[in-house]
Amino acid sequence: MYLALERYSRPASIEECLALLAEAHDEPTALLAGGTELNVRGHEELVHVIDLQALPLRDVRVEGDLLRVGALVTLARLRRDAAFALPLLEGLREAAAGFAVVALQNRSTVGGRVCTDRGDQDLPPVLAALGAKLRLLRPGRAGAVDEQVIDYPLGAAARRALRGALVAEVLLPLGEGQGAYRRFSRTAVDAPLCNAAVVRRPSGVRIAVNLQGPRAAHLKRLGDTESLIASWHAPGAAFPQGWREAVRLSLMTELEPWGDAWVSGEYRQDVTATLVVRALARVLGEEEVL
Amino acid sequence: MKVRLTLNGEPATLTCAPWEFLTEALRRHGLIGTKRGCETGDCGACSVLLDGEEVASCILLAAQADGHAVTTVEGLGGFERPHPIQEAFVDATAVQCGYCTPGMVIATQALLAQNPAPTERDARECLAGHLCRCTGYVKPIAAVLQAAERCRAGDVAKTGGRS
Repeated sequence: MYLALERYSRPASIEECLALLAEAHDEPTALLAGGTELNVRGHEELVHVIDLQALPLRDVRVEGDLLRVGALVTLARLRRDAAFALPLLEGLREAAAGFAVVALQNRSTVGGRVCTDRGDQDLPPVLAALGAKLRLLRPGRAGAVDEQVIDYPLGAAARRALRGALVAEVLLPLGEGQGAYRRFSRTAVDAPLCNAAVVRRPSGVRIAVNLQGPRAAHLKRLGDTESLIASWHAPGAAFPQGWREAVRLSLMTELEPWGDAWVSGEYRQDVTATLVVRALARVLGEEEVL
Repeated sequence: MKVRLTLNGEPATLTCAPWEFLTEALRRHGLIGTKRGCETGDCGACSVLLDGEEVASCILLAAQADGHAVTTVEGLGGFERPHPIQEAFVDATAVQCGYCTPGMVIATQALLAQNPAPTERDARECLAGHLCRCTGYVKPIAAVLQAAERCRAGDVAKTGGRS
């Protein structure tokens, strides 16, 4: 694919970036982070890219009980930065390592992954399971910057909040806990055909899966299965005997059998359920395969 | 537009269109070791180092490289003075048609600069996404491990080459 770009801008500040965004009324314009999706699909009409590389969006810092991750932090950095070496963030590291190949992990960013409108992604289910929030910036009146913090968007309506906004940071609630991410793909470097993220905190278990449809909006929390797990015991206690069968039964009801050119819906449903059970076993410290 | 960068250790200016990717700009500049392959970042043939990190130049706008240091396979070594990594690929007979080799050499350079003593697993991860339709992958993996030994002996990889 070849692009028809006519303009490339590299703003030096957030204000300059948002001003460029505000000016782009009828001109097809995109914010450019690492650029790993730019030459892939759907950008044939793009006229103007606003390259974010000069903006101060690469910080990773702890503030209170939050880990603030700049939108331009790369997946390679998620894999190796000591700030992410917590058991709670194990799934985040696994998802970063699962994405494509080293050359793309070096460029692909957290913000870019959030904004990419595809269902076959590694990072979003982990962010949803972690209870991430997004800090969005928009052009305000008279050159002001409007700021908004939203829950990680699930569903098409929630994702509309990203339109016309610059994702500046991903905010991760810290604390005790264990995370896990499991994926299945044709080869190790391919996009996942099925995936599942699980995070267990003292307050309970959160489960999220992608690939319930082709778009990012199909990312889904598995609330019924989370409720089932919560009904068994006080948070943090051991799961009962036979939890795998009970969870699988719940999942087969809750997961949608969405099929595409790669795999049938029933196959994806079954493998995704297996991945959730394995990720749950990991966060419980049990054998994944019995 | 003008793209000013450090190219193989020397200041350079590339004249590019806004839509142009770095692979094309480098090849037009005479650096044809960087190969045009899938143009979607999937095959590894176009790999170069951007500030020392391996990137797919086929999906990196040339303009994005403005102000950065880019190293192509020509920056590591050439026919007269090959880099130990290039020698290792030849000696391990990891080269047949040679189309994927520059990308593999660049990936190896990036790996060894961070990890001078890689395991076979590290070598496999390094070459993942570098598609070869001739030799397969056994010999290139051996070449990476051989290159690591040679670079450790000569402490070359950290400096980015000897040319």
